[in-house]
Amino acid sequence: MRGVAPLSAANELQTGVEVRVDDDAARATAALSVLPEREREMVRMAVGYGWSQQKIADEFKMPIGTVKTTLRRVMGELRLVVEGRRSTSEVRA
Amino acid sequence: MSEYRDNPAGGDPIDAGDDAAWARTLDAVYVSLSEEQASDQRPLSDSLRRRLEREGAAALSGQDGARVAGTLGRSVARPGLLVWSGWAAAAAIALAFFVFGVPGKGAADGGSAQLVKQVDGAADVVSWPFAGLTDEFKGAQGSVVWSSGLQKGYMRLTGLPVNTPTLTQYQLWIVDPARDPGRVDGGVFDVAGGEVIVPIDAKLTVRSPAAFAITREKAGGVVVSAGPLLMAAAPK
Repeated sequence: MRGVAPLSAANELQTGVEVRVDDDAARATAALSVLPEREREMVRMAVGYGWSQQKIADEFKMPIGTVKTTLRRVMGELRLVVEGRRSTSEVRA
Repeated sequence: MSEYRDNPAGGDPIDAGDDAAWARTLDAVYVSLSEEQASDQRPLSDSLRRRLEREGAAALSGQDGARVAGTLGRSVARPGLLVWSGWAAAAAIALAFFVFGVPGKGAADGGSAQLVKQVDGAADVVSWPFAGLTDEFKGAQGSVVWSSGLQKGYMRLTGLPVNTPTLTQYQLWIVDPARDPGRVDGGVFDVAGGEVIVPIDAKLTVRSPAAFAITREKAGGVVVSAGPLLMAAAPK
């Protein structure tokens, strides 16, 4: 319990990452804004609620394979934008 | 995200566990969606709201795995701004219904009991005692039980000061030097007195936990804590 290293690591909680979060979130917002509503909703369920792909498939009454494929593609697009490797206009909706 | 880790179908494209870049993307998307929900720019669809209502009712009756209210969402501390995550906030029903691990329910809660049994039975389970790090928490006791294999765990805590959930909440942090940054948000929780069992819902995959720490934050929690650390658990 008294290990110094873990508590030192814990203190790293206090180092700021707000700026990067701000920038990343702004890019994510821009990318999300160009997605079709259904894809946005799927991202919301997956990332916001942590729903399983099966649950999302049930919600949309679509095959789970379609959910997997869609999320894989959309999240890949979002990742490229967040990392600044793709512009929002290049997002394939 | 735990459901994704547990998905037997595997191949989940948005599990951040194997790639820090995914974690960055997930954080960004999460923050973005949270802000959107907080501003009610795009309210929940009727179908989604109905589903939350159904699942909330099931959670209350113990018919389905539920989760701590706070783990449905989190607040994001940004310069000069505290933004509620929308997931539970926008759907007030979610806050009202997803009450697994609510203070005072303790081990008697069916969901808690199931989680405790599952985690306790894991081959890689670890159990570390919590210790208070400030005068206010010297009398607080407890332990954390965690299975990296399951990516699940819980805390059993007693003696923590009662919090006012609308103002402040306790927040768990999992210190994981294998990640960058070296901490994972373990969710927020409330204490209404007595012993509480708090399920841990790590937002990201925990690779090599070195310690578990508790802070007290604004309602909903924060992304980056200003501390101080109130309690911590680590290997002896």
